[in-house]
Amino acid sequence: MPDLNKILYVEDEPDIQAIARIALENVGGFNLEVCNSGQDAIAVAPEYLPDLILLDVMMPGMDGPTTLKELRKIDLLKNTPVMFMTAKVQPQEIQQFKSLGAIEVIAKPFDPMKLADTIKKAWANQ
Amino acid sequence: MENPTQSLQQKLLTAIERAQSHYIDDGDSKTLFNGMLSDVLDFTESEYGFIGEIHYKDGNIPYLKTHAITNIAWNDETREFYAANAPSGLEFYNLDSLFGEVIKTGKAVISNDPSNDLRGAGTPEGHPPLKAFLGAPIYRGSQFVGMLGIANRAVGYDDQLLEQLQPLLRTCGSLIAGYRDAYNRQEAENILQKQGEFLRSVLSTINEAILTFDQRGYINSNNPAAEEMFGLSQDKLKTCTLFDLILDLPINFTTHHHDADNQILTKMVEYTGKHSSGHTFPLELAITPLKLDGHQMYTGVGRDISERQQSNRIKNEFISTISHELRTPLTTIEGALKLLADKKVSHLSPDQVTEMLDAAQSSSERLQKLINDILEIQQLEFGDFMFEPELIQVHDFLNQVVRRTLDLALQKGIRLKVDNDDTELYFRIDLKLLLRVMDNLLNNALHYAEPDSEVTLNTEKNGAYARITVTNKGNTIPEEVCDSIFDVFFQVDSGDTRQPGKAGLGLSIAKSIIERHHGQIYVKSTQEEGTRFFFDLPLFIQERLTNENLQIPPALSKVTDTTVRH
Repeated sequence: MPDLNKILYVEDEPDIQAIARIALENVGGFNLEVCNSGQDAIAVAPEYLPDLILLDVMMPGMDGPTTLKELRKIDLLKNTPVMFMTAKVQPQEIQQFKSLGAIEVIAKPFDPMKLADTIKKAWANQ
Repeated sequence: MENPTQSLQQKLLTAIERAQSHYIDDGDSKTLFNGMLSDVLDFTESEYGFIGEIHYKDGNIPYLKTHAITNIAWNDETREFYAANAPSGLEFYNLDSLFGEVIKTGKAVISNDPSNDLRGAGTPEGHPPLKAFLGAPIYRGSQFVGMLGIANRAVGYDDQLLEQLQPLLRTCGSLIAGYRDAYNRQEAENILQKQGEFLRSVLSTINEAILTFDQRGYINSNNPAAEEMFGLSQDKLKTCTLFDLILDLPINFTTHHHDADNQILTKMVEYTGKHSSGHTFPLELAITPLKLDGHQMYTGVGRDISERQQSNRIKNEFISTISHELRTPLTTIEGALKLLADKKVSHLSPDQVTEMLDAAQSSSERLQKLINDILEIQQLEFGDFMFEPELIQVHDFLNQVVRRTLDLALQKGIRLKVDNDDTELYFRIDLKLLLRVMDNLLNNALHYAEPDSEVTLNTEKNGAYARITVTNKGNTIPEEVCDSIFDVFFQVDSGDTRQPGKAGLGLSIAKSIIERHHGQIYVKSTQEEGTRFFFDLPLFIQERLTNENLQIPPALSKVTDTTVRH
């Protein structure tokens, strides 16, 4: 398993983007690229070639699962690990996201001090 | 010279024969007993008489109801009484009389001097003179069923005549009993039929499917709801088994419905029902055992619970959406607080600190707004709010709306075009509530408008209604979404049109408010024309305004229709 360095983060809520950016850059020390929508992510990802894609689930225009499907169509991103971030954390919902191929489902609200650790742990366990 | 006894016997036999054949031919009782009485009067040479049936009232007090009676009415009152009651039978309750003696004892009474007979109580004034009387009990076997009363035989009555009458009296007894049995049977049938009709009509109005079937599931009967539920006619249903209708019915379905102590079968179990068209539906079934003609049968009551499941699903999704909407700002607030509180995050620049504080602040406002929306929609839905309509000129109202919106439009760089020339129109609205609607429609329009485009706001008269329209170019709302966009649960089924920062309650609040004003709200969205939200509100009839300048008469301006709904 290569080291985790580059994360592509897709989130439509600017406030949450701001929190997560500090949590991942300042606290976690990752190299981060943030996209406002699924469409943006599809445009940016093949250039950025992240180690991990962190996807919000509920987004206008294109939601997280649809974005994942589209990303998987791009050869370079076929096997890039994906984690979902969602406030939909009922057990059957988590199961549904995992069945889409996510290696982890991170619940909102998340603790910005622990977010990086959670991601690192899931990365190591995949 | 003919033997009078033989002649009487002959007449008696003829009378009996006539009565019997009448009965056999299903003749009516009235004709039969009238004929019989007339025969008896004839061959006993009596002046008047009756044939009556013994009934009991208050449990065991006997009285007489006539099947046939000579009309002896002697004045208007008795004539009227006879005419009104004789056809259905006159009823006599006086037991202190010569006939009463027969009724009480079941024994014959012969009185050839009635006026001095202690058993009688005389006759009412005007009653034709009673010179001789024979009261003969009528039996059917050992059962006392009626009596024959005849009066005024010139030579009086005796035991010999009574004896001669016996065959006729026995026939009469059989006939009285026969008609009574038939009547009782008819009554019972009527009652049963009525009960049957009642039951059928109850069963036909029940929405649940009701089926009876045997242990192997063969269907025996059903109500109309069952035909509709499974899409099969009654004839088709009778060729089916329960297994044809219910896909996952277990073989041992009768025991499957036992409860824990193996006693009752009425436990509701959920299955999958199958309609003849092929579609399946969730079905809740209760089975109750039933003994029919000694056979073990079962009654099944089935209910299509698709709707219940659907409304549960909607509720669950609503709660899931609301919880998502609550969690999003909470994520920001909690995250910002944690980052700011942690001393280790020393890399936080002053700008980032400001950013965190701003994010927490805006999220907290958003949370506040969301909670207000939820409360408001609940109040509007349950009618638990003050509704204070007042008479307002549509033109003035629109001007107010524009003043409120201009800043936001400038901020967003969108032009606001207003077509609001008609100063003739008035409506009665709750200003606060309707401004709420306009804020929502205009905020949406400004939010979705293409950069550098315009949002138009216009009023027009649409019949008896004022129509207000808000149009923007930019997004297009798919047609199927337009149908449900005002739905309180709308956002649930259309995650990808969700507005950032909004729980999607605004439009359903708008709809509630417009409907509270007896109006209607619509949306039309096309690529060419853009997205148009418009609503119609009833116009105030202008003739009611007295002043030529269309000023509001003082009486009207003071009236505030304040309705508190609970």
